[in-house]
Amino acid sequence: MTRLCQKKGQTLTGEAVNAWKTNSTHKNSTHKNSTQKGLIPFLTECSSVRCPVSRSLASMVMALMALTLLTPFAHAQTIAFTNATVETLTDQGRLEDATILIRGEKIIAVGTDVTVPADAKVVSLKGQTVLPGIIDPYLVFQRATQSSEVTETVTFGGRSFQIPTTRGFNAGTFDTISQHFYPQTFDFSSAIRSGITTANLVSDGRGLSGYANMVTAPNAQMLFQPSGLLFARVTNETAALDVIRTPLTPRPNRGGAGGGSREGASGQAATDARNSTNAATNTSNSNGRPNAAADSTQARWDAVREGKQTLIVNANNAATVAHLLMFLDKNPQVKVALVVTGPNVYESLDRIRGSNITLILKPELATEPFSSRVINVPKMAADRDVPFAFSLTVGTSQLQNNLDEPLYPLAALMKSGLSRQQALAALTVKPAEILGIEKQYGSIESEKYANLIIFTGDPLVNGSRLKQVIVKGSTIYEN
Amino acid sequence: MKTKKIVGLLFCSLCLMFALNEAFAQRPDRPNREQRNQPTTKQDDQQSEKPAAPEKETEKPKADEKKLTAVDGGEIHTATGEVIRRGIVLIEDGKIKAVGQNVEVPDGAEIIDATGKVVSPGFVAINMSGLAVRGNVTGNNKLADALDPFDRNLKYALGVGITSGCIELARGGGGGRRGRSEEMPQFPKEMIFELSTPRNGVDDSDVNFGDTVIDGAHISSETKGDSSEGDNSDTNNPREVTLQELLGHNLREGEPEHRFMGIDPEIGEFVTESQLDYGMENTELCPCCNLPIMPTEPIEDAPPTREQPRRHAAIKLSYGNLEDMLVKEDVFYSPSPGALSGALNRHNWRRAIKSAREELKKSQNPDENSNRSNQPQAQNQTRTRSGSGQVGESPGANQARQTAAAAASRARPSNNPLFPLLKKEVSLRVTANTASEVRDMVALAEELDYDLVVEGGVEAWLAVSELSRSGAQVVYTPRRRRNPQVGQENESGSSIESTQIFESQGVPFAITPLSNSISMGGLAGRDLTSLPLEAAFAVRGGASDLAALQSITLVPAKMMGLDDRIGSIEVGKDADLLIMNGDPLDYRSYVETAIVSGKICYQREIDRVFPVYQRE
Repeated sequence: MTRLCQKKGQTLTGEAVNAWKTNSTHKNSTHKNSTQKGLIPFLTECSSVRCPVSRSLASMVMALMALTLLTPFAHAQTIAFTNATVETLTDQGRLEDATILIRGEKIIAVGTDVTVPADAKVVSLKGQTVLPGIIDPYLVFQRATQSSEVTETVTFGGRSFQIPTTRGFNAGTFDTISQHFYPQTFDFSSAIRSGITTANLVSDGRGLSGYANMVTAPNAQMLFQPSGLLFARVTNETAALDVIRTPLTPRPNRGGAGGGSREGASGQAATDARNSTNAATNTSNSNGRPNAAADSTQARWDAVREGKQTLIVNANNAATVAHLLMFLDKNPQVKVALVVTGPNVYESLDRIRGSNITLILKPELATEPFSSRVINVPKMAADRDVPFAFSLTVGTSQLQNNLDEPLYPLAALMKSGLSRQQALAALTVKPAEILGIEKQYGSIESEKYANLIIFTGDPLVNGSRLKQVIVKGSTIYEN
Repeated sequence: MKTKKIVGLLFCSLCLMFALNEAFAQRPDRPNREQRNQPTTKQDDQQSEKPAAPEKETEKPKADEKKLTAVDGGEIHTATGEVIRRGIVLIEDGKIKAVGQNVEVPDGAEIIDATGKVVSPGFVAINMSGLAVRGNVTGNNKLADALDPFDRNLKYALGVGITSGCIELARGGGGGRRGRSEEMPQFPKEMIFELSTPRNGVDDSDVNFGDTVIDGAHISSETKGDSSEGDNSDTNNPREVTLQELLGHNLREGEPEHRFMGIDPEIGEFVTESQLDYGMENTELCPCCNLPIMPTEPIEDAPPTREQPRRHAAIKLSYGNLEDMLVKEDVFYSPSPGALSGALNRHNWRRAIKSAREELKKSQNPDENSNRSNQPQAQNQTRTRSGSGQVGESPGANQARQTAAAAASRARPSNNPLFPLLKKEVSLRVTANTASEVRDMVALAEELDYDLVVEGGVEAWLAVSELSRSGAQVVYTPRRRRNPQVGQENESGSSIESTQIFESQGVPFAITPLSNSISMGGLAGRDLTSLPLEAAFAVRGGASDLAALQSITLVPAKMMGLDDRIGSIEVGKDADLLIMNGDPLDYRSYVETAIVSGKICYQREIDRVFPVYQRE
């Protein structure tokens, strides 16, 4: 057993080192690497078992693993990407023939005059372009539908019946993403192949989002921020609009709601309370604090109302945008990231100008409704100084068709007038700002996480393919 | 001194106006431009009555504070009977600030050139459907939240000049009934079928009639709590059973109680025809069978119709501006078709009106002794007193009904939808096509004293004297025809001269096209976009141009009670204007620009809903 492990470890180290040295495109190496990392918690669990034999065995394995696998991290292996074209998305702008130094998970230096340490593994990226990893601010996370049906007891005419009901996942429930996060149930590979390294996971309804790094291993690192932002999908119906309006409208006292009045507002307040208690019961299973979630949900809404936190709203038609703007006129301090399609928002851009709204758009040219006129809504937004971010996944069920050239739609937008800087910022810096993680993500500069995507050429020129995706210093995808 | 000045000014302006009129009559196409710069201004008839002249002078300096727009140089059809050539409409803050030839346009005002064009008030469609609203306005979904300012159909409607109108809200399916139950008029409870059999020793859990929910109030518990005189209320617990329940169906939650028509609680048995309240119709009773001898028509065996008022709302077609869209909700009280036909329905209607009027009177003059919370009980007692003498009704049943009524009235204090009708804030809008139907509706309106809008009115020309006498208004479609009955060619059927007859007899009429929605797949010229064309057919029927223009502007505005805001180009009204390239009712004319609440919402060249070529 020990021998086997030793052998395995040795071969692995060899392979890993080889991979770093030559920067070869062995997919196996990274794959195995990640599975081994995933084993560590399992082994530590084993070590707590009281059987002396297995304990000693486990500790031996542990020691070996630590020696073999964790060496690059323990020694903080420095990697230098040299001769690269770097879109830093900072004040430095675009750098030619630049060097990026990575140690561990972070970038330690970027620039054209960076001295490469002697012990660094040098990878030449001549002719290739490095971008910060794409941050998707609105990645709809498909929840696995529960197959087991829930029965409900209904009293009807003095008798009680068991009625099977499927608890609708999207029927107005408050989804806390972190409670439904099972990486196995979602295929992130297409997102990775599009260059998305970080995503804000949301559901199709409303709830509390979670931030995830697209690391392939099923470990805790993936969901690095389990309580992200409040999000809601809204239509122009009273009940749907009240999802936002009710918690954002200051209520002086909630005591009056019990008077049996059937006003829409108090009715919505009731459902909202129900939802928050719903969330509370969810969490009470895990940490035993029944009202914590409800309180925190309320606190979050308060924070949104005071403008301390961004609210993500998916408005599914133009009328909803109008209704939302009318409401936000009265609450100008509320920060909103508005997920919307171009045709639904292009007529409202003049009103959005100067407000606290950031758009989340799909990077594509759109056509005017009932017309064949092509409109470049991101450019229209840029012309009016309306901030916007791109989401590659919004409005698409799959990302299959743009795998090798994920930024091609961006090139089309730039052909019709959008500036390169704005286009790239909308993929990286702006989403990071929406999510409030701009200090660690979104651009290539020192002390930020080494989330990088490498293209064979200029990513906005037809024919440049996505070659490599690096998340927190480790390669997760190579093409 | 000042007053003298003003009088002098007015006199001066009046003289000038006459002079100008003379001048225009002679040289209609060449008005004197110099007149504009003279200090005395030509004023409208309405303005000259008010001392508006000095105000204008003072308003000029602070003009640049708000955004001003001037529609300059057009031939202004004000729809009040006046045509101003080469006039100016000055718009401030969505309202018309000044109209006339000599309006002073302040510096900085945005000028929309309408030289050679016709300026008309935006058309008002009394019937619209299928636009501006997304989804069903039923249940808890409010109209204000369902409005869609980016509906493409708005552009089509604006393209023919419709800037505002009345939409009927979809009634929808089961969900809608739930919402409307709150808005139903509170009929007296005569329709509730009551079984007052004693229930001694009957196990409640078996037959759970005692918990029948009416208006959210549990009758049995309320009876126990509120009973003061019903000493045997527990044993004599009434069972209020609806017809549905008798048939084995259960009420859904929130659904209004089903009314079993024909049961009168004050009599306690089925109403026979001789006992029906015929109002004015009741002439005399047959000595043999005790049935009334009807003067006009026999009692139709119309099925009992559940009263479901249709809901109408006035909206503006302000494309892109959600804030301006909703003007007013519930602009009519509109019973469903057939709800006022038939003796039984009319009986119920009279009862509903009478009880609502009493309720209204009570709410306007509340008893000094009783405060608000005591009111239902006071009502209770009066009713008990009146009802105690009646035959065939147990005290328990009476009481239960009253507690239900009390609970209901407590839940919605003085929210009776009939109140606005009785206060004449809204009109009763009802469909009546045959002459007899129209006469019936007019007679009912006169008897029960409310304003009437007759919709349809194919044969209304036959009842024009009644309509004219009662002050009723008609919504008419000139192209809707009906063959006369054989042998009654002079007393039935439609008439091409209807509009002329209405106008000559002083019956205000609004025009509505054959179909109320925007149709992209049907026959052209019949849908909502044919509204001005339909008005032109009113001219063909003999009405004057002015009456035809008013039939799609001022009259429908008046019907909705909104003539203080829309329908004509007058100072103080909303700036809903059309700039057209010809006469408003000419089929060759196009709307070039539609302005709704002071904002441009449609431009022919840009929106490309209608042809954009220039006609020579």
